[in-house]
Amino acid sequence: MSKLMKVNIIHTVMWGMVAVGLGVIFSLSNTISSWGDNRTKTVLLAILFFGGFLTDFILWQYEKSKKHGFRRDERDKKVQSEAVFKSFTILIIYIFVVSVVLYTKYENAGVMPVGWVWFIAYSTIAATNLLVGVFALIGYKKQGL
Amino acid sequence: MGNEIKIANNLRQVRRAKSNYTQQELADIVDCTRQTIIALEQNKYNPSLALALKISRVLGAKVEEIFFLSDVE
Repeated sequence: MSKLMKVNIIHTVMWGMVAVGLGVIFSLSNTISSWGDNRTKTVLLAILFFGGFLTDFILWQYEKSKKHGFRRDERDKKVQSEAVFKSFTILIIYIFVVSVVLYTKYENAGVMPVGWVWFIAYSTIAATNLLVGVFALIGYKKQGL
Repeated sequence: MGNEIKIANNLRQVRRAKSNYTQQELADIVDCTRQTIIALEQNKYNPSLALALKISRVLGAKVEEIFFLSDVE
């Protein structure tokens, strides 16, 4: 297994954990409806996302360090760009579907809890990172690496 | 509908026949990773024209000796 594959696995697992944590926090009762009063949950989410980005930063530094002998070539760039493109497409559909569902749900009420906006914001970031990692792993797997 | 056309190669055979380079050595010379050479030899990756030309130059073979079109049913 190449070092890049290992880096991708760590990235994917970390953002998978962030996505699960996000799902758990937002599925707890009152998270959406009383978002402004949920200081603990907000801090928990911030810690989760900080963990995700910190992992990415550490991996980036590890990759940048010359002593570990990392090298990206045209195949890696192709796998990554395909992963980004597929994730981008799915995310557009995801945001559209969630927005339509929320609009339909709250159309008659006229107002929507602000917690849903935060949910879309957080889940988009988590899903972007997770999907890019997953599609990159699939891309490498297809090439038998 | 027409058949899908794929680029195939016999890089492994040419590499062994025309040089003593290992996958890693060839990768270092043509400035790519060993994983890319492995993927190429397993016909799981289509190289860029630049990489194909570099490989053929290093191995002293014509591009079409190494890379060729193959029809997939």
